[in-house]
Amino acid sequence: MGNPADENKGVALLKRIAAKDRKAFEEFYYLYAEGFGRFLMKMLKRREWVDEAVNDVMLTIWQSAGRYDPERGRLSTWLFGIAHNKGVKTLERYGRHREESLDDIPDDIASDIETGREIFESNVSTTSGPEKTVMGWELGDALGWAFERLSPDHQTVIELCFSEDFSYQEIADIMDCPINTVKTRLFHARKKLSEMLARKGYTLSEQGAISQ
Amino acid sequence: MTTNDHDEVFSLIPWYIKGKLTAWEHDKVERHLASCEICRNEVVICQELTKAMPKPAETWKPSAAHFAGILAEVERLESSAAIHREKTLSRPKAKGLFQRIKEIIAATPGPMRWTLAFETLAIAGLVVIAILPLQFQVNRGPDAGFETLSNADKPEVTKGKLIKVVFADDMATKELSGLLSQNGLQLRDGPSAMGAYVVETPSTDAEKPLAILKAHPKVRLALVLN
Repeated sequence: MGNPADENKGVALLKRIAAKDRKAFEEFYYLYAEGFGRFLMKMLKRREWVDEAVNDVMLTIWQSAGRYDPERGRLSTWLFGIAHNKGVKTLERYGRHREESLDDIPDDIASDIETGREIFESNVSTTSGPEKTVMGWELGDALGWAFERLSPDHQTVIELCFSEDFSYQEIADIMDCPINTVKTRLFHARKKLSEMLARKGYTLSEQGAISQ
Repeated sequence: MTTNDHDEVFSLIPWYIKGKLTAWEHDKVERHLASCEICRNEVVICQELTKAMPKPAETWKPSAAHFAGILAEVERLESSAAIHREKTLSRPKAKGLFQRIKEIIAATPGPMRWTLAFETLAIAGLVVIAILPLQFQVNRGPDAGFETLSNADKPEVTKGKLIKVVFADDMATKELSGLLSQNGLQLRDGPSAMGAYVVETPSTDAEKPLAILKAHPKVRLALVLN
């Protein structure tokens, strides 16, 4: 989503959307919606909530296309900022708040997340050995379990840094918070992940490998 | 390396492994890693985390049906905005005072317009007349309403002789003024508590005016002072 060619194309489409060009709006949807839709899916977990949030993001783009200024940052940063904002509003609308961890959320949502966790755990390979692929897969399961137990803000900052490749300044712009807050959140998120991995029996060896 | 430096570098590690640091930050992290095992371990953890980031159970993909819903919402928004714009444009603008006066005049019959014009001028004239005398009065001194025969506040330098004169009680002001002006005499002071006046002769020769004053039937006393 963030490559320069896409970026230039996106900026050109935005100019046409600002002039109320429906065709450009559709092109923009197919070019970018999957990227921030995937991000929203990790944040919201439910398809119908993601449909609603993507809807809100696209309407905001329609209404404020003329206000995007390339001098102020990348298009992807602007889009993810809108998406994050709509994601937070959706969570609030359905009773989940950004600082809550898994233990605080309503039962029906918690059960969905637990189902996800069970899917991860049922896929755990019984093969043990030094192969990195096997260890990576098991670690992935454990990480998935631990990740789900982070608060939405911690999940978001981990996601934006490790999956989406944004810099700390861009993450600050997306989450609309100071840079130090981004660094602090990521520090605490990593610390929590380590603690939860340790609970699952994963420790870091001196050689840097993670073993159970 | 201080604790603050360590914390600073530790917090930058995720972006270090992503290559998202500035050259200066990258060098700082590399120098620190050479001597800090904790941070080296953290680099490994973050690398593993990047590789093993959990994938959501469901994926989300755009679809024609979903976009159709969005477009329908856009059309509703645009339609509401257009109706709102139309209402705003067709609303009559608030009239200014001048515009309202013009309309009233236009609605008034011809003869009545002239009557109203004259009446307005008459009222304006009365206001001017009422204000003007006040302006004159305001600009004069505290005793501006009184006019005296002499002006004790502004004594002039005397060139002639000063004569003290006492007139009879029945001497009228007009008669007194006439006597003085016929003989070139200037009133300089008076009347005092005793009814005495001081007059000035036009020249240093006071004999003739003195004789005229003494001969007048209503002059009780005439005496040269200087």
